[in-house]
Amino acid sequence: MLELKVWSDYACFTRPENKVERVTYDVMTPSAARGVLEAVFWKPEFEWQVREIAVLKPIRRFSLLRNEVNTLASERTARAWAANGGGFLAEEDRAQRHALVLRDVCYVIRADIVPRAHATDPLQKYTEMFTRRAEKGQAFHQPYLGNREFTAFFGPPDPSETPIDLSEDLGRMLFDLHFQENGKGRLKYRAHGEGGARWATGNATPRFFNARLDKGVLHVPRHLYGEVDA
Amino acid sequence: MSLLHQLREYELRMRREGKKPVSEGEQAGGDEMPFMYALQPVRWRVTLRGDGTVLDVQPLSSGKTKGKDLGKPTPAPNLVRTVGIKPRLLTDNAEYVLGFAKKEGDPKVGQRHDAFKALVQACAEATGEPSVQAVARFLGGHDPASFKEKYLAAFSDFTPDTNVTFSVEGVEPLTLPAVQRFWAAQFGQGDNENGATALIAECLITGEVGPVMEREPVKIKGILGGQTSGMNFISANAQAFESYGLQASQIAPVKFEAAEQYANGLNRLLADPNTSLKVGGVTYAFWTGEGAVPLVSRTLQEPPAELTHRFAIQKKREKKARPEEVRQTLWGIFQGEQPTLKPGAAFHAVGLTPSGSRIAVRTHLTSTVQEAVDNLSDYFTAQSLVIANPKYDRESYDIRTLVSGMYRDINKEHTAPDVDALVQFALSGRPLPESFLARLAARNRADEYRVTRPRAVLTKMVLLSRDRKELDMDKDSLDALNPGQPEPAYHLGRLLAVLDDIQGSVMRANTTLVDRFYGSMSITPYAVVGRLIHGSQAHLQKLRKENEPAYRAKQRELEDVMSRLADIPAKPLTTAQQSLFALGYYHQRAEINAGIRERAEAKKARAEAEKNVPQPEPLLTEGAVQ
Repeated sequence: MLELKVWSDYACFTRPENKVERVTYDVMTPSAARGVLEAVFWKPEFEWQVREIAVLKPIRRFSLLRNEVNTLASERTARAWAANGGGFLAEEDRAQRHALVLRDVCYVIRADIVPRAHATDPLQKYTEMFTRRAEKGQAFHQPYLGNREFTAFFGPPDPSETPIDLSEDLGRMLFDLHFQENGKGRLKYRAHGEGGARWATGNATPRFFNARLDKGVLHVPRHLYGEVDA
Repeated sequence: MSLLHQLREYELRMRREGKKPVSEGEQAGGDEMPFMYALQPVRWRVTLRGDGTVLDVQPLSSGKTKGKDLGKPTPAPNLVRTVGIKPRLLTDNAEYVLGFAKKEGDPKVGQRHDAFKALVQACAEATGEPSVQAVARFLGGHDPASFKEKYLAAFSDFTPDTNVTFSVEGVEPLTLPAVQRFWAAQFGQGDNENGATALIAECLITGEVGPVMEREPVKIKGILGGQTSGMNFISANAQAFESYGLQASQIAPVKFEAAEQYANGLNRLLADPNTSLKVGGVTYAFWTGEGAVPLVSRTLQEPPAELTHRFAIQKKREKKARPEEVRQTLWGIFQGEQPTLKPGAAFHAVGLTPSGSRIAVRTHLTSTVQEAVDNLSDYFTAQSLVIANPKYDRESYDIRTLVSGMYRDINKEHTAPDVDALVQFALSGRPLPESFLARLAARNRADEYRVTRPRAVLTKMVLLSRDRKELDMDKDSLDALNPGQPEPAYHLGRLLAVLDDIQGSVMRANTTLVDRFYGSMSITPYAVVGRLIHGSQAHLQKLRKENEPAYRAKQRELEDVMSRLADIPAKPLTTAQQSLFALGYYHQRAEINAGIRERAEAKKARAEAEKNVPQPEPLLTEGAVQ
């Protein structure tokens, strides 16, 4: 099992039900952990399967008001501006939104690299590549904890640090999104297979699981990965 | 645990316990409400014969004499309707039921009436109930103009925006179980209003896989500052909130029934003043996993008198309130009114603020009833502080009074974060923010009343709630004057009070020492102490000539304070030190006032005693002394 320690001043693992006025889960979700790992190292030949998330610092919440914009950035609109002039005035598109975020967080993510069918190289190659990258602090992009604003720092874990002493039910937590190819789907996404990357159309539905913090460690049930093709 | 899950559990428990549901801000009567039914005022009842012909139209009254009579509150099918055409089953406004236009020439009236007709027809076919079939037959041959002429001529107050229902040969179709099942089946069956298939996903509350709601069926009402028509918990109206192609409420897939339950659970809590608290822009709801809900909201709004007595008794015996006794008193108060209170039960609290038509969750706490009451008693114990002015000051304060100590005019401020911090401190013991100290210190400097009791109380609460390592203070005795405090800032505060007292005893100044020097003394004492001490010498001198015993007493007081000030900090005081300065000033003032009161009382007692004793003849020598 591979380990990575991540820490940050803030984190917001947004609950889907409180997505507009954000409220965070108490603990990092498996999909956020996968995002962090993928930022450090990922190849189409394997997928990350998160096994455990250890919480090293007490859970502290923090209330935050931020100025955000209402609309999404659209490539097509930006192209029109480039052609005809104009631009985006954030001041005219403001919304002040509340977020209940976590403060001063530190986690150890334990995960496995699981090679895909089309992988030709041995697993050891990938695990060693990951270890080297983690030690050097290399990443494809700087990982973040839930929101892009909350940049995360990472490194190999320190064996002297132990999880907090807290056991409680966290309720149903987002596990990940389940992508299903479907000709009439709502979504266009990149799928990776033997022939390389290609665009696929399909649907994504969120999957949940009963999360429980056991002496400061969130165990991700293995059966979840049996049913999900990432 | 997720908030929605907890709310749903509460609603299900209340239904199991046979508690009446809440709808439209009114308490419903009788049994449990059928799924997607709510109490709605119904003004007119069309009575039909079995063959669908009209017998008559009867007005139903709410009994209210003031304003417009909307009709008798009746359990009837309910749904959230915005701009789209969505009929309610068998009971709706006259536009849907009879095809009367609210606005003349509205082209949509016909569509609305047709939708209503189609729904009744579908219901008649599905249920096979003769009464529904009779209504369907009536609607089949209904002509609005002749109906109006024939049956509504007698009712001049008929308006198309009032609700109309049906009764067939004494049968109310809405009360039939088959009809209620049909109405319930309209929801969560997979089709939405546009005819598209609903999303099949895993419900984030129940975990069941099935069709999920596209829009919330019940709106949340009673959020302070929010929309009165109700607000949404889960919703996404703009692209920025959508992701993975999931729209509206599908961003968080929830089964329709579960959505109705959590919304009704929250509405139930918000409608009851015992389980909700609205203060400073935040709306709170409190509930428990089992048993009664402790009267947290009432206690925070108006600290009970019993607690005040408790503080007073303790004051006389020793100068410190004991949390254990306050706790027992609180338990006694709560359990006196709610015998089913269970100490081990889960206690939940949520703080909500409005944001447009949506709800923002500010706080979500989960603990046990025991912990909540323990924290609440600590909150009140932290408020115990010597009283400087018994005529005006109270023993303990409500949240609004405490927060208003930080502002010139609380009505002009955005106080939600402060209120929230105080409530979280009261219920979970979470430390109060440092920013409180800065604001309190600023108000103390600016306001002519200086350190008022609410301000002193709040200052003390912040200092107690945080572990201030850089501040050398004795945390256990901030209740009253403590000459043993190690921190010089505290004694500087005392010094200012003593010097002011000395000035006050020899002259009545329009602008007192405190008015002039509180600000500079509380920030840069080094710059002013020398000048103040020097100035006070003249006052002391005058006092010595006029009233020597008073002079001695004041001199002793001054020496006592000065002896604690080995050196005066050369640097400006930090915000924390300024807070302790304010407390020192307040404690000393209270002490001086207590002395004055004591002397006044003694004088009064002496005068009383002297009145009763016959006056001896004046001696001639007494006059010669002067």
